[in-house]
Amino acid sequence: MKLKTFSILGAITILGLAGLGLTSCGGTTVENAGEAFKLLTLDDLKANSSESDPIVVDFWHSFGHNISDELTPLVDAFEEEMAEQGIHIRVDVTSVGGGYDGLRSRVNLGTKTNNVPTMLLGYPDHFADYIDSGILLDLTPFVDSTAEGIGMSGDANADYLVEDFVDSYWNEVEMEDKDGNDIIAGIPFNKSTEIMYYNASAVDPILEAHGWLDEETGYWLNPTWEQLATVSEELIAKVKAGTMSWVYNGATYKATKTNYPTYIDSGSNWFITMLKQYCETQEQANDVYTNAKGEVVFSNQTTIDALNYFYDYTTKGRTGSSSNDVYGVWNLPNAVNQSYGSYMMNNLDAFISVGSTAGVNNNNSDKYELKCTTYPQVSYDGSNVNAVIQQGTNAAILSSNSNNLTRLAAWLLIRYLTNTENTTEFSMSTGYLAVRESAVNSSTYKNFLANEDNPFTGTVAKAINATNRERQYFTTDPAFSGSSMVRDNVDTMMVSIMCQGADFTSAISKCYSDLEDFGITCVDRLS
Amino acid sequence: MKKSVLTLSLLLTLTGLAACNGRGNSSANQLFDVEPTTFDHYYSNKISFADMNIDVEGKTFIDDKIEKVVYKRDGVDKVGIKYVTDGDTAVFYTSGTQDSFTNPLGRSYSYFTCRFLSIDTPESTSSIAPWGKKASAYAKSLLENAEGIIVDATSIDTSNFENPRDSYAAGCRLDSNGTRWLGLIWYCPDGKDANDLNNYRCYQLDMIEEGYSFYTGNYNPKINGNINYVYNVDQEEEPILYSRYEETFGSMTLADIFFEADIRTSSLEQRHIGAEDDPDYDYSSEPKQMSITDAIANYDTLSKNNTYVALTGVITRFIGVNFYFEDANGTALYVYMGLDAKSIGSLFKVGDTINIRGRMSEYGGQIQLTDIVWAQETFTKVEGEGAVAMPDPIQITSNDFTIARLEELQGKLVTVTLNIEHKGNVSKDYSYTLNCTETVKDLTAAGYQYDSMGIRINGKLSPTYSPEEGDALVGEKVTVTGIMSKYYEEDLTLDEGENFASYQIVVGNRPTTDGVNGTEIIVVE
Repeated sequence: MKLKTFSILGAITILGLAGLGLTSCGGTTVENAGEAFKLLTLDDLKANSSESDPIVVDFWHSFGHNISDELTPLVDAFEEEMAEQGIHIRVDVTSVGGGYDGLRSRVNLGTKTNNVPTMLLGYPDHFADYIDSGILLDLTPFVDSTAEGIGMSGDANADYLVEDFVDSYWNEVEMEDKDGNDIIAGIPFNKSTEIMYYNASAVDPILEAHGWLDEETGYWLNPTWEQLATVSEELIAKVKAGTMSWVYNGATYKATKTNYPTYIDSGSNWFITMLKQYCETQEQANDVYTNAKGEVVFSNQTTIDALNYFYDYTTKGRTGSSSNDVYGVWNLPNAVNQSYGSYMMNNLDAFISVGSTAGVNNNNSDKYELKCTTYPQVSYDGSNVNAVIQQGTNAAILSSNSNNLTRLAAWLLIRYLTNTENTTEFSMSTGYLAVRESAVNSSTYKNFLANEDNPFTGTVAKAINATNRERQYFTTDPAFSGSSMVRDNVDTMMVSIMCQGADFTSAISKCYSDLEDFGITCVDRLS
Repeated sequence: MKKSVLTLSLLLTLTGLAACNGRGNSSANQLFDVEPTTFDHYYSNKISFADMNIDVEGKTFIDDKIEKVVYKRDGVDKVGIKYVTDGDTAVFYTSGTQDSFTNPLGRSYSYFTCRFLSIDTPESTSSIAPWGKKASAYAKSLLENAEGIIVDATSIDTSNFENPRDSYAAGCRLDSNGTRWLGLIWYCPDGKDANDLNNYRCYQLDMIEEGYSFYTGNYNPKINGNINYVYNVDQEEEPILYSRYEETFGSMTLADIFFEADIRTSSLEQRHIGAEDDPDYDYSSEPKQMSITDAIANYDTLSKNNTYVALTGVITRFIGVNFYFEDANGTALYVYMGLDAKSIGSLFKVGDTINIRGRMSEYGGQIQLTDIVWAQETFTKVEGEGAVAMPDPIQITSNDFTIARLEELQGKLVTVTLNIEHKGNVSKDYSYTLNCTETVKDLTAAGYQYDSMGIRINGKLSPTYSPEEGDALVGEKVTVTGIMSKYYEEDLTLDEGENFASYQIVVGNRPTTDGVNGTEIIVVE
């Protein structure tokens, strides 16, 4: 017998429609869910809330235990401050398992039955999905409001002004709705980027010999890929010669093997940044990976040129295939069946790791001095574009399972969490980057960043200081529905090329073919 | 704000009877064909592995490996439990090969670590979250007592990869750390016939319906988009499963069942899935000060209640960033810091007295302090009156190698002379054990085979002893100073309850002076 294969979610939707307009509610479905937007006032919130019957905001994120613990006091303080004003808001925070992709997956599932929160954190391409499904609330009326305690414009408190958000963060929340209208899709919340971590105890002598160690700061400033290749090759030579040792905290350490001295954690970020850096103008860089129309365009000569350069170093100096042999100068951690270069750094099998600022504590060790510098560039003389990926989530409000009371309450929470004081606090406690210029320039933040020797916060300060040296060329890839799928497939493609030696054009063709299967437009400029 | 995660409830009103209330509050009205009043495992009671139509006989989860590269696989296997890490991770024996080891009996086993797909239970190891220990205890009650266990990854679609090695490297079969294999777990409960696939229950579903995990969806960014791991690859062969609409629709996917079970169980508003505060979790921001002696004496209560404690003792040895410390009564305890980066080595040295905050836990049969928050207030140096004197190492001989005496010495700093006979396998983080000719007498008397006293070199030592240094010590008579410890190594040939401890001396971070590394393993001339 042929079985029916109805999805229950589809079944629920059908049954819901069969309800002939009867009220759909229950679970977290709110009264007047999905009502037409109207900007209410703080007095409205006061009049419609009480201690025993507060306005409830469902807030979904995907932070783990440790970051959640840093968020909790801020949310508690928000509830208390609101209560002092006679506005009673209860924030129910859900940490959805499975990371932010799990959160998106859950929202996409829940959208069919309106089982979604009032507000959430997510990436711009997730927001593109929510825009497509018609559940994302445009935050423009809130942002543009000049009402005291609500808006981010006009005479609003300086700690809340919209102009104060770091430009590159703000740029990525300005999106278009399905009709092509400009909207504000979210508010920048937790941001990170990629930097280069290095075992300074091992690397500094090589930098010093080349004159690449800045005398004033003691850092490797403005590193280039050429420099990284040279340093990596010399690290290999020292390990092979048995002379790779250093003294740290009074003890002598010796590294006796290295498959690759340098690892680059994210294949997709590596690919995107290498393409942009191989461009001579920003205009070219905006049209080398994906473009503003949501088309994939990386089948082009710039890609081939870049891959040729970077791939050569994945095998350069290879001496064999046993676990004690040298495999090459740099590669993805996948090449040794790991996910992060920090693992090899900690084992003293590698000395340099290019990865997210969110992983700073994993690169630290009690066996060497950790230093952080900026993501390597092709050049700094203006002949090539400078670029490093900016990533992280934004806070958004969903319109489908909210009403105007819960929307305003959620907005007040977002506004509170991203004010100068709180973005500063959240950054210092978690290592995510502050999202406001006023926070970056605050004395509190500067004092924090100046104290790199603090055993508890100094490592985070080192990482943030490195990011501040590359902020001017933060870059993002355009978000569109499916853009995360492009990144995922590029990750796979990079593994096949860098770790398995796949032919470039074949790998690109396969990637294109897979993306086209999902209905993504791919433009081939090679053929 | 609620301290724990919140329910994610889904309901539809088909009759119009439900009245939405409040200003964003949940409605109490629910519509399930069987309204839950308790954790009734409504769905998991109806599904078995037999429903999945997957052939498991003679299959191996990981089939072949050459130089750490996996070349082929069946992706499904009847496995044995080595140990349960927590609610969503366990280590299994398999007939394939992964992380092989040879026990002192010379018997080789193969095992792999598995991260369970589609669920995410609260933490209970290096950090301890509300409901974490309960989830872990429930996991152990299911898996450690199971008559049989099946790990199934056949639902992971690897068709985009030319060979399994590519799928492995691309991460679609491993978790984001690249170290744990992904799979669905089916288990045959105690007392049931493990040869009958109808007796194998879905572990993930039981964990959701016991309220210890949300259904986390199936998204994996490493492969093409929203691949659903819980679906069968061949949807034409999708099995009949059950839902509250079974009379109408008959069939649904296992993923849909997971999602529905999540929603239905959430509606109880209890436990982790229902955002209930864990009644046995200490949410205090200020710890309870007590001695290490009292903490160990009251371990059961403190552990059950997840009490936030602060303990004071003198640091006797660092093992990497972790350390042993003991109080004025001579009671010792191990502190597990959780991350290699959490080094207090620049703030404290051996001989310093520390007051440290955390929670009591147990790992590998040993009590420890864990859930160490990396913040200044967690660590206080105690000087003057409250400081604890650094004990001298206890001089022992092989005559002390009796179970009773070694139990007295647990966690204590000892010095002993031993003859090194053999160096064990070196793990990927360069840890290894030096086995000695001296044996633990009671173990031998019991016919027990794991009786060799060991010297344990942890690869995370700062600095460590290289494997080459270990080779050079084989055949030597040495005087070693370190912490007396024990470990458990399961042996499938032993009956249940016969996994006795073995004993070893754990060497601490090497003493160093002006860049010259010392040693605590001194060859006797």
